[in-house]
Order: sequence, then structure tokens, then C-alpha cells
Amino acid sequence: MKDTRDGGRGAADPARETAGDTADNLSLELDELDVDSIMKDIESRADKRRREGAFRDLPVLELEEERTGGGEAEVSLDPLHELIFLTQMARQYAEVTSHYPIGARRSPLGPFILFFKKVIRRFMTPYMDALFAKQREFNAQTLRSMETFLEMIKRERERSYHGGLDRYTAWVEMGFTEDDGDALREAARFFDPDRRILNLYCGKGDFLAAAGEEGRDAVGVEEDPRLIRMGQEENLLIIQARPLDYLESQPLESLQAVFVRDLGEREDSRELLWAVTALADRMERDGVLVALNHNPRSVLGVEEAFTDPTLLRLVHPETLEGLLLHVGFREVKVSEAGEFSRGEMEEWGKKAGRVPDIESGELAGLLFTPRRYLLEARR
Amino acid sequence: MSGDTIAFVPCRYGTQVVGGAETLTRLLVEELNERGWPVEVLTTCALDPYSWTNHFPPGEEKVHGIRVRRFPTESRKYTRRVFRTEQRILAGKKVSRRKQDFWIRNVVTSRAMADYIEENLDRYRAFVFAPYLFGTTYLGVRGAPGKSYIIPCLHDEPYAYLHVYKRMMRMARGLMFNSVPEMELARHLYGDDLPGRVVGMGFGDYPADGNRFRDKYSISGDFVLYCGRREIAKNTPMLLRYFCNYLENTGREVSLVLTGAGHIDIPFSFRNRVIDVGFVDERDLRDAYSAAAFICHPSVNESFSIMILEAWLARLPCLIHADCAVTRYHVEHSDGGLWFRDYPTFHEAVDFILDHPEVRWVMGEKGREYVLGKYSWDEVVRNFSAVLEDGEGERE
Repeated sequence: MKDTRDGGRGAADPARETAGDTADNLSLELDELDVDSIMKDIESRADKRRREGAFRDLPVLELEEERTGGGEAEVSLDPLHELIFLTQMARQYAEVTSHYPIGARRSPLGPFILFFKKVIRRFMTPYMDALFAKQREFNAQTLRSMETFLEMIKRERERSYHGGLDRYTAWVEMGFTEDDGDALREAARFFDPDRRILNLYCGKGDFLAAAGEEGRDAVGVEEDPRLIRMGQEENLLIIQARPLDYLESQPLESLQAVFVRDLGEREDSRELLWAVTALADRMERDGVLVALNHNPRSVLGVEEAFTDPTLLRLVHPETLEGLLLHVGFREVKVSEAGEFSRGEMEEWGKKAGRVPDIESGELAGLLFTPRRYLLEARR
Repeated sequence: MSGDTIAFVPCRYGTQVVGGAETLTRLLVEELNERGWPVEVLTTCALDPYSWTNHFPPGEEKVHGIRVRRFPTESRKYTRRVFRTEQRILAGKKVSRRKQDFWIRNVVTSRAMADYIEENLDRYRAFVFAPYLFGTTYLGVRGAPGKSYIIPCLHDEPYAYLHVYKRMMRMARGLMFNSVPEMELARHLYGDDLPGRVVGMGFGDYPADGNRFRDKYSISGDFVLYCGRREIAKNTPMLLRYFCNYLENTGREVSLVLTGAGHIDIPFSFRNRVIDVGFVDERDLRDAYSAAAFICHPSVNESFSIMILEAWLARLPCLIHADCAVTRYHVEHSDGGLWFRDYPTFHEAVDFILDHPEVRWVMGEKGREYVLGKYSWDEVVRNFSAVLEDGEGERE
């Protein structure tokens, strides 16, 4: 079972003493937890504080009176909570009836008064019943409307909940990541070893690790703390920031080497334009930008790429090249990367029912075009 | 000739029905059905446990593939005599056997169902009634004493001391208890030779997403969860009072989220911290377990406490009332939570649980181990079968 509780939300207020102070040294080992001893501490502390008069335990209505001073309380309520509350209330009081319990406690006249009341009720009942029937019908319709409205809201909320699956992080945590090791190492080799590479949108730091293997120094920028934690566990250097904010905070013409994976593939298309413009402004003369993107010309590469549902689009190399030239890069080169291995080709062939002519066939060319392209742009 | 089918006779039945005994019976029936046992349900047309009005149409229907025969309830004649008798019972005063018999015939009965049982005795292998308190069980056991089994869901309450129930329990072929303390109570009240054993209910792992619950019901921050009917017998008003006082005394930003049926008067100035989300479906409930800091179950009248055991599966620790033998037994045997007996201990226990997220995680884990170890369906079905066989052996 996946547990999504945030165990740290109940952080202790250091100013407040608690019965648990004595249990602070409890080990997290299951076998060592001793509820009896915790309860003894709690009970002795409760006794001590009770003797000191530390506890106030008032009936709810008195407490309310004390808080509001008899006036109206100023409480900000969530509209959904209010609707649920009012619907419950309406449900409670919708079924109205003319039959109500009557009594008379006054002695010795009580029985006579009671008899008199019963006679009145008997006479009134036919008239009251007609009125109450209409009221019941109205209440039932109103209640039904409220319930329908409530159900609609709850259903809408349920449908709009993504469970975090609209975020790349969720898929990384589930293990749906691409094995781009070779292509990333190839990308790292585009950079001069004595330049520090800035990796925007670095995720959990796959490129940083590959760059390290190739003897390059690289630093990542990532927004998601969960991805950063994964990278930091591998001793990678990652700065927590929104990549575009970080980029904009850099001085003009200051960056020498920048790497971006999946450039323009996950974000809003406006963000792509914003990113490349900011890059063109912040990169120094002769600075190198390398992007590793999915290759839209590889049929199987495309199929593979979209196993990640956070991928929004593929960007053709020509499109990206045109865009970079448009914003001020002077030279753009594109090459393919991430070739399918022979084993992968045979595996795909078996799935398709026949093994295509891998060496020379047109079908094989279409299917097994390398899954990635590398774009090198110079300012 | 005697049939093979086992008829379960709860006073209410259906997926919308809220109540421990009813839920337990439904899940047991569904599990047996899944394992190929021939089962059927005989029940009333009632849904609401307060008015007992006929909500479902009488006749046959299928609920999750199980044949359910519904019979109308008699309208409850809540006369002055019934009321007085009930007041005497609740006050622990002596009530004659004749009056007890008169009283129980006015606590949810269905003459049509009792007649059906008497007329169709041979069609069924056994009748399993639940819970002990209602006229449906009393009349049913009297109509089929040789084939009757009871899931009593017994609490230590004034009704349990009535002679009519002692006679009914001893008339049955076997009793299916939910926990050891319940069995001990029954043997203490009705005799040590009472036939039966602990059967209970099985639990299995389930997926849950706490964020989904928070998102759907706009709930943020730490919260304490209460699940179930809101009524005096369940100590819900006491929980509300303790929690409001806790908020007032500590100023802590923690909420109480209530799920389940029934109305509760939440003071207006606390409505931003005491959130009533009403009746929620099974998925929402499990998500709520996953989202909460701990579950609080203040009732002292429990025979099993499904909520606590289910919550433990989501590693949710619990806070229970010290005077409830059953929940206390669960907690003491699992180390899956803490207990309170009055406001000061409630205050200190809540503080402790909220201040120690690491300890509450371990408690939840201990509770989970306890449930998975003790309440598997295989074990439950084995015990269920053993009670039937013991009863049938006695009959032969």
C-alpha cells in the first residue's frame, strides 16, 4: 500500500512541554515500543497537571458562549464543508410531521390539560396533515437538490484529482525513466572539459552523473525537492530553483556551457520561447548550448517516448534549429544519438510478428532511426 | 430433507447501510459466497437505524451477487408502556420476564420474516442472526432454535443483562463472537458453558491515497479522524467536547474530521476545525485513514471495532477509551495506539501523538502487524465452519 501521509506535519512546538518528553529517546525499532510505559508517563503527567489546575474542560455550549461572548463568531468556513453541514442539517429536519409529543406536568391539573391538548390535536390533525404533506414534499425536493449539487461537486473534485501523475516526479518515482546513459555521455563530450556545465531542468541528475563519468564538472537546477533528494543521494550538485527564474537571475552573456534534456517537450510552448530567448541573452560569445531531445523521425523512439505521459510534444530538430537561429544563436548542428541495439531490434521484431531486414530494409530504417537527436548551438 | 444454504439474518443489509454488525455480516457473507459457500440473506426493508421505516421494496434482489430477501418491518409502536419499560431497563431496574418479552417484540420486528423462517426451516442448513439486540433475532431464534447461530456483537450495556437475551443466547446452537473480551462478557452473563468461539471478520490490504481525500474534501494540516455513527452511545458528543476544549486550551492547528451518518451539533465557532464530511464511500474512508494523524474511537460499547482494525492496515495509530474492554484488548495486544479515560488523559495523549510522528508511525506499523496476523479470512472462515460443525454435532 502506498502511504501518502506526511509524518512530519505534526511537528512539536518546542515551547510546549508534553507527556512525551520522557519518550523522546524511544527507538524506532518495532520491538522496543512500549505503550504501557508511554501510558504511565501520560497518566502521571495528566495527574500532575490536573492538580495544578492546568486543564479546563467546559461543556461545548459554555465554551462557545465564552469564545463568542454571546455574539456571532467570525469563522471562515470552506464552502464545501458548509454545504455538507447544511445538507446533513436539512436531512435531519426534512421529515416534518404534525404528530408531536404532548405532555402536561402540572399537578393536579396535568391529566385534564393533557386530555384537552389531545382533543385539540385530534381536531386539528386533518388540517395540519394537509399542510405538512406539502411542506414535506417541498423539503424533500430541496434536500434532493442539495444532495445532487453536493454529489456534482464531489464528483468534479474526484475527476480533477491527478494524484500527482501529471508531474514528471511521480513517473520517476515509479521507475518509468528512460535509459539514456549513452546519449547523455555523448552529450557531455560536446563540452570542453574545463568549462562548468549548467544543466537546466536536471531532474534527479542523470546528466550530472554522465558528465562526471566523462570528466566534466556540472551543476543542475531543479524545482522539485523530491527529485533533488534523489540526486543528492548520489552526491550530485543540484540547486533548488525554478530553472527559468534561475536563468533570468544570471548576468547577461555569463554562461559558457548549458545542457537541457527534452527542451520544449514538457512545458507550455510559450515557456520554450521564453527559455531560448533567455538562453540567447545569458550565454557568452562562443558559449555552447546542447539539447538532447526525442527524435520524431524514429517510429519506435516516439512510441517509447510517450510511455511518459508528462511528455507533451516532440519538437522537430528543424523547428528547434530555426527557433534558436531566430533568437540569436549563430550556428546550430544536429546529430542523431541513442541508437537501438541489435538485441532491442530483434525484440521489437518478435513483437511485430516478423523480424524486419535490420541491415537494409526501409521498414527497419523507419522503425529504428536513433531515438534521440543532439542539437549543438553556439552563440 | 435439509438444504445446504446458510441464511444470514441481519436486521438491515445493503451497501449503503452504516453499522458495525451490518458491515461485518455483509463482508462475511460476501467472503463465504466468493469461496463457494451457498449463502442467502434474509433481512428487513429498513435502512435508517433510528426510524426503521421500510426504505427498500420487499421481495428478492441481488446485492453483489448474493440473493437478498427483504421483509417489511412492523411500524414501531413506541407506546408509553414500551417507553416506560425501556426507561426501567436503561436505569438497571428490575423488569419482569413478561414485560421483557413484551418490550423486545417492539424493538424492530418483522412478522413476515419470522413466518418465512418457520415455514422454510428445511430449506436452510443454518440461520445466522446479527446482532443480538433486535426483535428480528429474538423471534428468528425462537422460530428455528435447532438451526440458529448468533453473531451477537455484545456490549456491556443494560439490555445485555435481560433474561430474554440469556434465554435466546442459550437457545442458539452456537455463538460467533468478534473478540475474546466479548466472549468473556457473554460467558460471564449467560453461563460458562455457552457454545461458540471467536470468529470475527477478515481484513486484507488495500490501496489508499491520503492526498486524494484531502483534495476532495478541502482538508489541510494534521487531523484526527472519527468514523462511525454520531450518537451518545458511541460517545461522539464527549469526543466533540474534549476536542473543542483541547483546541481552546492549546490553540493548536489541528482538526477533527468526522465521517459517518447521524447529526452532530458542532458549535459555529469551531466549525473550521471540526469538519463533518458526512457519509463517505469505502474508497474515501480508506483514503481518510491514509491522510489522518490518528483515529479516535471514544466508544466504550464495542464488540469488535472494525474501524480501528481497518485503520491499522493504513498504519494509522488509534486513541481509544480506556473503559472499552474490546478496543483496549486490541491496543494492549498490538501496541497500536494509546487510550484515555478523561479529559486530562485525552489532552496529554493527543499532545503526545501529534508531537511524535515517528512513534505514531511505529504504532501504526504494530497495529498493522496485529491485524494481518490475527484477522485473516482463512482463519475467520475456519472458525465460522467450526462453530457450525460444533452446533450440528450437538444436534445429532
